Amino acid sequence: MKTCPRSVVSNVLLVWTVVMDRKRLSILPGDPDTPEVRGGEPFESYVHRDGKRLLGLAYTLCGSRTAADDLVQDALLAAYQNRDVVSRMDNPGAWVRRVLANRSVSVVRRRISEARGLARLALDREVWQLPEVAAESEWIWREVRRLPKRQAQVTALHYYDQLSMSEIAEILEFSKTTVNAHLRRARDTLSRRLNSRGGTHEDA
Amino acid sequence: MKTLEDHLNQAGEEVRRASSQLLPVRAPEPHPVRNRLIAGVGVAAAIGAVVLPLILVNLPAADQISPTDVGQGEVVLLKDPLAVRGNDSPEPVFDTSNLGVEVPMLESRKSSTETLCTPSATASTSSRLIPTAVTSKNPPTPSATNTDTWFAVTSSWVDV
Repeated sequence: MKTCPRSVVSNVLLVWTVVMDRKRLSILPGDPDTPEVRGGEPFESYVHRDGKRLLGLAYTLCGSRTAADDLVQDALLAAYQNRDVVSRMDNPGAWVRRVLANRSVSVVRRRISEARGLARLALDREVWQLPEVAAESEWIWREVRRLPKRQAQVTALHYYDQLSMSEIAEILEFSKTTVNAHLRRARDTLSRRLNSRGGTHEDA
Repeated sequence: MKTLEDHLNQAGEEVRRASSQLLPVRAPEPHPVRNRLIAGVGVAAAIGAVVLPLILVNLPAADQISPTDVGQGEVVLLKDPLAVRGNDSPEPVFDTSNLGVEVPMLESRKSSTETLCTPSATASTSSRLIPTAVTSKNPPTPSATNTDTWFAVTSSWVDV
């Protein structure tokens, strides 16, 4: 019955070290356990390839550079945590965009309260905007964000991400008919607002 | 004439161009707090289940009990109030019958000592032992006629 406690403790520490080493190695690129997205592409490569487009999409949906950063990181973290499921999908980017679009709703709500606080403090909002975006374009995207959330998401995915109706339908899990209906209503609303603003245009 | 479609396409193009000039997005580095918490709880449970019993078993008092003694009848004398049974939990087993006898004895000793050693009680007792004749200011002078009386007085003690 004589067993040295020190040997037991050292064995426990040895097992702990081996487990933590394996976890550390499993997220290194090139390792067989590296999280992969889309047909064996490493996760970091996917982020490097699609990250900026996701950032722009997040900006069109929430209107803040900092909030867009947070939104993209949230969506990518969700993809990383669900990598077992996402890596088996045919189009993992659609899954990430769906998460981003859904989470942008709460971000927009938060930004409304932030804007009220900034208005009270009389601070400048320009520091949050993307550089090299004209005021006319900023106005368009601000009006897009005022649309109902599904119409705003369809408009951003179509005009910013240049996705087809079937791709948007896959991302938002709608039918193509529903996507077309959302886009038509969004155009009608934006056209009325542009007319009332005094812009010159012809309805497409 | 710019159409609404043109406005939207231009707005999308400007945001695409602006976002392409941003710094690359870094892959999130998840902090596996949950996994570490689960592993920490597991290690703590392993320590509690393995190491602590080993430490308790290897205590000096427990070393005096050989494995053959366990379950072999009376291992420890119950008269020792700090004795521990080898096959029981390491709780001390007190011999309550011994205590029951000892406590009245101590109390009786204490009461008798108090009676004898209290200064007031000692004074009263000694005063009762002093002959009454000694306390008298004018003791009777011995004479040939009252010698018997004197001795009779000095030898008379106050009844205790």
